[in-house]
Parts: sequence; structure tokens; C-alpha cells
Amino acid sequence: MNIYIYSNTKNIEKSFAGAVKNKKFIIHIAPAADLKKTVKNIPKGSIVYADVSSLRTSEIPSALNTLAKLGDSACGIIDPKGTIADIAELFHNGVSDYITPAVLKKGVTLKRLERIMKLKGIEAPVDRLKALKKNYILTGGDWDDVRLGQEYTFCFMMVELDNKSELKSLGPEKFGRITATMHQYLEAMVAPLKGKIWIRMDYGGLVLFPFDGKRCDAIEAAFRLMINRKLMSAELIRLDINFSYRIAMHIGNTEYQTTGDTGTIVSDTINSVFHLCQKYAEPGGLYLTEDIFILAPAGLTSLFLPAGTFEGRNILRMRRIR
Amino acid sequence: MHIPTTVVSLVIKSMSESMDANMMIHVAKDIIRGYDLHKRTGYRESMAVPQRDAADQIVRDMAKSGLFFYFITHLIQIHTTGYRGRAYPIKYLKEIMRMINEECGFIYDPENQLFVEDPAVRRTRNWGALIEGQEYILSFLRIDVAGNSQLVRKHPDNLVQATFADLRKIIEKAIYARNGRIWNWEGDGGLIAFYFANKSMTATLSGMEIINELFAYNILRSRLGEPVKVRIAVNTGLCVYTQDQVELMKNDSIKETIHIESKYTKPNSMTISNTVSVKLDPSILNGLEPITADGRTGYYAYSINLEQ
Repeated sequence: MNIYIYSNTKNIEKSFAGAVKNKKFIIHIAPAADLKKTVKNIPKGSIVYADVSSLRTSEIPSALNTLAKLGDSACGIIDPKGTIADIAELFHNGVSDYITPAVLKKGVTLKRLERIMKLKGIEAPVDRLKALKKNYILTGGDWDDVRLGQEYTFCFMMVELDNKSELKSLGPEKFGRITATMHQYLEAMVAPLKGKIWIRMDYGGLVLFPFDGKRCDAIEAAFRLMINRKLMSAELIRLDINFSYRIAMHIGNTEYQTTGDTGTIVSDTINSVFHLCQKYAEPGGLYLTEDIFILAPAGLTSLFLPAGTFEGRNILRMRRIR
Repeated sequence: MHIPTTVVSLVIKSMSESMDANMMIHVAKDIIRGYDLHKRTGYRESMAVPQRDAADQIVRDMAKSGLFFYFITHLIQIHTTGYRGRAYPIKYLKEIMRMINEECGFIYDPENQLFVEDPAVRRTRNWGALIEGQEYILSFLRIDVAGNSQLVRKHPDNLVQATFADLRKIIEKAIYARNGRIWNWEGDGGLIAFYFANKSMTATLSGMEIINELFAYNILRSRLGEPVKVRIAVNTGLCVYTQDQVELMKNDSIKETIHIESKYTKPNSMTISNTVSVKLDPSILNGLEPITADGRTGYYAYSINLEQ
């Protein structure tokens, strides 16, 4: 569960430290001036706080108006100086929480946030995970027990090269070398995490990872592909063009068939990851559905930013590497 | 170094079937000035040394004097480019090179025209090739942990030592894959040398890999609860090879590498000097940021900067 705090107050996150101790919630701090610009991209089911002490008096009504439009998320007001005169009016306008200077000093509790979620009917990640778990058909940690024709839950990673026309214009021989190198590198990167390229395409491939129902280390492979792009481009591809790829990840079920025999498989999960990669992801980006993000290794979660919703799912994008 | 008899025998066979004794004397004199075959074999000056005896004596002398690989390198050159305007195909060369690899653990590096140790067999600091007192062009990678003393003061010793051991593993993986050698290690950093292939490029790519892997390590496997930050500098220059560590660190190219690391490099980044950047493909430079150092251009920096 994400908490977005739009505030310029120094160390504001310390007031939420007790609530995020058990990692049920992830805090994102942004300057108050970014509220209007970025709040529309936050994942649904978040809690958004605006710190009125970081806004000019003339900006407060507009900020409240923006928060009131957050249909799928809860919102609250932080008032470190106690300047709001009519607190009840905030609640009339759909605000779910009001943090007084005393509460701020004492610290926001986990219970408080849970009550807000209950009040707004927001599903906690733990509950979301519980709901998703009902559909899991676990493969175990490796491929030993995976049988042809059976349905399982896999982590899906789709990788696709960005500059297709530029690459194609290099001629069939060079292009073939690049895709072969790309597949080889991809294989080396996913193999330690038990991943395998399931569907090979000219411009990339779909990688499957077995899933044991715990966490999804496959995201680490995608993260490594992102941070090593320049190195890979310099060492293996050696072209004077900007070598770039986008990655989309999702978790879900599909019937398993061997590589090359996947043509007849009908799977909503496969469609979703293809669509996310080809229709939504921007060049050079790594995108995760929330379904897989909640299984990410702890250290990686802070590298992701909300990136709106697509086909009914919250999407997160890895921060760009400059 | 001891050269196995099987290898020596094959080279003798190759020599005796590829050239006459006169030619052998010329080749031997190219390696050992004033080499006197008659004196070595005991034949009188007026007598011609039989081809087989000449080959046997020369090859054994080369092996004894530690010049065997240098001698084979000379034979390879004769085979590929001829000798004094004439073609001299040398028999069994491929087999000789295969046996040297399998039985001695050395491989031929055509770019530098010398035999070097096969990294799959052994790794010594001079690749089994650099000679004491000789001058070479090498690329150096200097790495240092920024804020090392603070880390040591702040965290328990066992955690700090384990972290530095992790760092060394990251460095070793990156440099050994590109045939680099650790020339100096101070616990939290050191000096790495590169000599083969495009050394400027391999040193730069090693630095990039270390920065990337450490970035991942800090996020996923950190033992200290705070990131370990390193400064890396890559520089290429002349160096007189010596086993003497103190003497080695007095070398100007090495001193300059250390200077670039400490003066122009930000934590968690790598700086490459102008002697390195001129040797790099544009595809690598595209991913780096141009900077100036001491008013000089051609310096570049590499780091991972995440969108805020």
C-alpha cells in the first residue's frame, strides 16, 4: 500500500515511521508543488496527504479540489501549524483524515491508516495478495514439476527492442547478430533465477519464471537488464545507435507448452503482458503490474513510481536511469 | 619455466623439417645475439651441423635460457610474414600452439605477439608475459571506497570486513572476465592493470560493471544498511614493469590514475582520462558524460543516476 505525502516540511516521514515499520505501507514524499501534476498517476487504492503548511493560502482550495477528485484513493490533510479553521468542511469535501500538530508530533499509527482504508473500502496489499493467492497454481522453485499441458502461475517478463526501424535498416546480417546477442544476453541474465525464454521474437522475447508463491526475484533480472543497458550496448552490440529496450512484467496463469508449441495457448495473462509492453510501456522503461510489484524484493520497491492504470491494473514504472 | 619434453620434441621436429641449419643459425641469432651453434654442439667449424642436431641444440638452448616462448613467437612471425623476403612455412605450428596451451597453460596473443598464461589455468600479476624492467603501455583502474574510515568507525568490524570481501568479489568478477590483474589491494580498494586486447576498453567496461553491480548490491544485498560508495578512475600510459610494489607505485601513469580518482571522481562514479577515451568506440562514449579535469578535455564520467 502506498502513502503519498506532498509536503516541503523537513523530516515529515518521521511522523509516519511507526506506521510503515512493518512494511505494510510504502511512503513516497514529493514537493507540495507537484501535487496537481503527479497525483493523477498514483495507483488507485493509495492514501494521499497534502501538507497545507507547504502551500500558499491561495493554493489550498485548488489543492483540496484536486484531492476531492481522487475517486479510487483516500486523502488527508496535514496541518503542522493548525491553520485550518473549519476542519469539518474538509470531511464534507471527502477528506478522510486530518493530521493535527499533536498527531504529527506523536506519530501517525498503523491503526489509523488501516481505519482510513476500511472507511474508504480500500483493499490492503495483504488482502490483495490473499485474493491473488487463491488463483495461484504453484510451480515450485524450479521446472522439475512443471508438466506439459498443465496450467501454472508464472512470472512473465516481456522484453522488446525499441528502435526497430533503425535496427532493421542495418541489414539482415547485422540485425540477426544483434537479436542473437540480445537473446544470448537475456538467457544469461535470467538463467540464475531459473527463467527461460519461452517465446522468441525478432525484437525480443517473453521469459517465464517459475513461481513458488513467495517473492518474485524475477524482478531482479529485469532491474539488472535496465542498469546494464549501456554496458551491454558497449560490450556486445557495439553500434553507433542508441540501443534501448522496454520491459513489462506481470504474474498470472497459463497453460505450459514447450517453446515453439505455444501458438494455440489462449491466456489472458500473456495478452496482458504483451499489451503492457507494446501498447503502454515507453521506450527504455521497466513496467510492472501491481500484481507482481507486491512480490518484489524489498530493496527494489522504492525504485518504482506509479505510472497510472492500464487494462484495470495499477502500473508501476522503474525510475529512469539518466 | 620447465617446458615439457613432448613440446620440445615437436618444435625440434618442426624446425628440422622447415628450414636448413644455416637458416636455423640466423633465427637463433635473432633471439640470442652471437649464438654459436658449432660451439654449442661441439662440431668443428669446418663441418656442417646436421639439420636434426642443429634443431635439437637450438630448441633445447632456447628452453634452457627461458626464451622458448619468445622463440616460438619468432617462428610464428616467420611463418606468417616470411624471413628476409622469403616465405618459410613452419610445419606443425598449430599443433605446437595447442600443446603449449594444453601442457604449459599458455595461449598466443596475436595482437601483442606473445604468449600469455591462459586465465583458465593460472593468473599471475604479469600474465606470465611482462618482463621485469621492460616498458609497456598498460591501462590502470584505480578503485577506492569513499568514506571508508566513517564506515569502519560506524559499523562492527566483521560486517565491514564481510562487505569489503563482497566488494572484492564484484571487482574480481568484472576484471577477470576481461583479463585484468590486481596489482595492489588495500582491503577496501586497489589498483588493477589491463594489458591485452583493447586495454582501454576492457578497463572501462570493467569499471562500468563494478559501478552497476555495486549499485545492485547496495539495493539488494547490503550488510551495512547504507550504500558502499566507490570512486573509480581509468587511465592508460607507459609503465616499466616491476615486481617491486614500492617502485611500481612511483610510476607516473599509476600516480596520475590515483590523482584522477581522488581529485576528479565523485563517489559512486568512474572517471576515464583522455588517454583512455581516444581508444574507445563512440558507442561507449555515448553512455558517458564529458567532463574537464585540470582544464583538459577528453575526460568522461560514468555513474547511475536515477530519476527522482
